[in-house]
Amino acid sequence: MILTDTWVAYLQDFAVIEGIFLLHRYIQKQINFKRSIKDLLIALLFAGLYLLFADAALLILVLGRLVWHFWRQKSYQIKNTDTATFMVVTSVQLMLFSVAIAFGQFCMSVVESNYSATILAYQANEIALIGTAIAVLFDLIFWWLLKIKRTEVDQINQKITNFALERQFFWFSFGLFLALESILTIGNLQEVTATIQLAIIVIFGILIGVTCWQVVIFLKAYALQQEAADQFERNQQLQDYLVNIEQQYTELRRFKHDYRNMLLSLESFAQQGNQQQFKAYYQELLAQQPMRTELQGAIIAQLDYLKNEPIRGLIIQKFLAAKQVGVTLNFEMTAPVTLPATNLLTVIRIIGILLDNAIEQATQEPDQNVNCALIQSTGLVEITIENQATQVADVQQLFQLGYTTKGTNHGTGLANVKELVAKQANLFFETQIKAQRLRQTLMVTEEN
Amino acid sequence: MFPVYLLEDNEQQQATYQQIIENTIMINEYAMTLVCATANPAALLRTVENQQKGLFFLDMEIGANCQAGLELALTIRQRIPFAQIVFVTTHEELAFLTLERKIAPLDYILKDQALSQIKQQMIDDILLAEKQNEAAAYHEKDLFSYKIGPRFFSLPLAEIICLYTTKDNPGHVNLLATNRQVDFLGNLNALAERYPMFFRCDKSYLVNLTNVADYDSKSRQLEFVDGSQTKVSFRKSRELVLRLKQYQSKG
Repeated sequence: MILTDTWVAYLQDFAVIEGIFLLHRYIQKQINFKRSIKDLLIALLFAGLYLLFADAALLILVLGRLVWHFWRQKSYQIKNTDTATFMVVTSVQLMLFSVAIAFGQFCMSVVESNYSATILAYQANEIALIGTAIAVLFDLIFWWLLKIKRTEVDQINQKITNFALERQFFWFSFGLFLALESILTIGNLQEVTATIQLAIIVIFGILIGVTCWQVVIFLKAYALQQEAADQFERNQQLQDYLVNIEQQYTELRRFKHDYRNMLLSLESFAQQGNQQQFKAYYQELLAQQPMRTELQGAIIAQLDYLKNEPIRGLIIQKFLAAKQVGVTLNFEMTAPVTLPATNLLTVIRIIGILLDNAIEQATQEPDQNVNCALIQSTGLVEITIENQATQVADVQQLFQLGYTTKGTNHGTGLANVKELVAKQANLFFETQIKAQRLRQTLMVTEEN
Repeated sequence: MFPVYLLEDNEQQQATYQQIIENTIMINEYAMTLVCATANPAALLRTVENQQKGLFFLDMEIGANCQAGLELALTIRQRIPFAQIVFVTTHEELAFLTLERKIAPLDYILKDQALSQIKQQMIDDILLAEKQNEAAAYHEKDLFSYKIGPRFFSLPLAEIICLYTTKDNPGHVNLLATNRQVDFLGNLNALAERYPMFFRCDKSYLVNLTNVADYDSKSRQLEFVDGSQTKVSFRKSRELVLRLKQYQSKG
């Protein structure tokens, strides 16, 4: 604990909080003018509180933010990584500042050639100012690290969301933050010298670094395990699918056998010149089941066009799921389709939700077909899913339906899609209703 | 004269379709002519030059090329944005949704059905094309267009209800039309300038006054034909009332 003039302390506290805000917004990709101004005002306010409560002000800030977050999403569940990321950034910032202040003290000691703790009392202002400057420098380095590791950070964030580990991540960061807060607060109350506090924090920092590393390894292992499970399931599905195709083949062979006989009789009618009988027989031939139904083998031939393995898995999975509830899922691909790899997982989630919705809706409609087309043109992939929707007259009604009357479970599907699309700069969503058919299209542009 | 085109590689069928088309035009005394009936896509394209409109009956598979009809349709669509295209083909050759997205054809006629049905559908399509051609909604000047990635999309202005932005999707403009909703990159200021017929009733809303159903100037609530609503900003309310009155007096 160093005692400085109020304005120096205020400046230092302001730098701490503003740094936290900026880094957090940067990680969450939420930087814009209005938010920055808001954050700046909050930082100015909390820097004042900081003077009163010291490091405990950050606890108030975090808790306040959490309450506000709950209030906004109107439920007390941890649904995203926002608050957790905020706490991690806060912890990192606290550590950086502590280290920076210690550095400041060391610099001052060198300048003044006074290596005892007494320098804290004589040169408090200078130390605080130098420390703040160094901390800002650390922040910049941290920011630069984040910038070059951007994809990795995003991937970790994405993984946490995908594996639904938000809650665990929240408690992990909350624990981390609390521990750090208690070290600092107790340190301040007991007037532990900065050197010992620095030592504690450095040890603490190393421990956290190791833990984080462990977490990353854990995530990787988890992903691998998940991948293996998926692979197994895919194989299972492929097996089911092959059985399905085999049945069709048998049916087709039987038909071919019959067909030849029918053609022979047709020939005899033609030779006899019996027009009436010829016509009747011809109509009967047309009405045969295999003439009417389409070949489903097309899907496996077409799937070859789909160059992204996970989406192929999803499609086979949904095809079989649809079959189980009596819905036919038709796929159209006329050329090879490659989806950009950057946010493939989001795209898969969206397609999954849309297909689920379409299949479910189709079970309640006279026409139990769901059509899905993947269309590639230069720089753009369109994924269109279509099903009959006799109850919906216009788009507006659909969104009202989606959000309210169908119950929370169903509403969230479409709401989720909208949310996911809004988060990604290269995704666009179109809803169209034409002749009682609902057509939803996800457009994926190549990121520039 | 409104031109009609036919692409079909089976001579027998070509003759049949040709007759159906010519008879329909004659019976209804339409100002249409069958300009071209051919089995060769390139020959058809040559006759299309300098046309602004047209009704096309296209077979999908020509000879061994099962995409010939689609390729031709794409070229026609590029040259004549309002071409009315009908695919005459067998079921297996069709990828409905793909065609819908890429070509947006007027209709499909399936060859798997009886000739009488095919005939009826062709007649219906000619009638429909004639009707659409008369309707003002299908002229180029009344078209709204937007771009997603490298691709341009367009729809008749008359179908647009409003364009708006939301806070959680910055940089994107949402388009609400009578039967569709889509978002694309853009900003309302530029759109307001490009489409002066729309009215900026609020900083995040650009509305099409022709699709307004009701306006309550007390609560400043604007209602559209599809039942959706938006709030009008205080400063714009007066101007909106004036503009709506102008519309009413016009017709």
